[in-house]
Amino acid sequence: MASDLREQLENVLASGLSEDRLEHAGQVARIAGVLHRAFGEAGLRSTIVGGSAIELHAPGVYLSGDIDLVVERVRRQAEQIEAVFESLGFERRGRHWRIGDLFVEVPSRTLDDPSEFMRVGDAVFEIVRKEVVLADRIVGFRQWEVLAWGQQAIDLLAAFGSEIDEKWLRGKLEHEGSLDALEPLRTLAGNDKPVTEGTLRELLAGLRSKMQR
Amino acid sequence: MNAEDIPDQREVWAERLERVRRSQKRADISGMRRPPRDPAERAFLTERGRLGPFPEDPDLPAPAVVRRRRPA
Repeated sequence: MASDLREQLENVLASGLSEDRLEHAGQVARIAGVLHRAFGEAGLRSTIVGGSAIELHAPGVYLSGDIDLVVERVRRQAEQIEAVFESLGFERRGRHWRIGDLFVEVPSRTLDDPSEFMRVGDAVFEIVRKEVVLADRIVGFRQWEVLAWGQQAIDLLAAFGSEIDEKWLRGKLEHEGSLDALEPLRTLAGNDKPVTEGTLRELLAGLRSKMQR
Repeated sequence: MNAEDIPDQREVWAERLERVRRSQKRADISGMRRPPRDPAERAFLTERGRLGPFPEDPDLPAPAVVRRRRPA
């Protein structure tokens, strides 16, 4: 089975990763499907997180150049992560795994955030829910003043529209001290005004000033 | 779980991409920065011209730090 999966992975990577947003997301999904099957057969559960999760929920917000994967043990006799990557043809470079144009990192062995199964054609894999990646960007903007993530949060809010699990998102943002940023970002996502560095800095300054009152 | 029970994500991609493009069209991202990447990841992405539109700011906390620490 490993050779079958390795062949599938090689087929996806053979022509390199596309620059077209939808084709690229499709390639990432096929890779995610192969990894999910390979780890699953080895008694491990893999979940897509980070930038590639953003791309798979909302292509165009982020063109991921790498895949972040949380891999958890679900079977006592599970194989080692290393054996699975090697069976697929990956080479280890420090704490990363590489094959062709693909760069994979396993940032954690436990996942606290809610996840779901996603299907893209024949590829099925597990991924953190869209509210998780949205909350991550809003918190990064609000707490660490990462303006790039503020813009990505606006893009995600625009992409998801009313499809958001508001209860979970608000609970998470409240827990992270970032709920006050949600509506202002949503307003920016919903109108036609330009968004600049100044717009986002002004928003942050307004939130800081409200907190001090 | 049957794979057939899960809707194909491609059904929502095109519409979401269109909304994202509209959002990005009115954004001027100059001056917007992202946290620094891991050096190995940066080298790999640089080699392939896949660094993305946001320059790194070495003064921002790295993503791993962002995940672990909570602001005071």
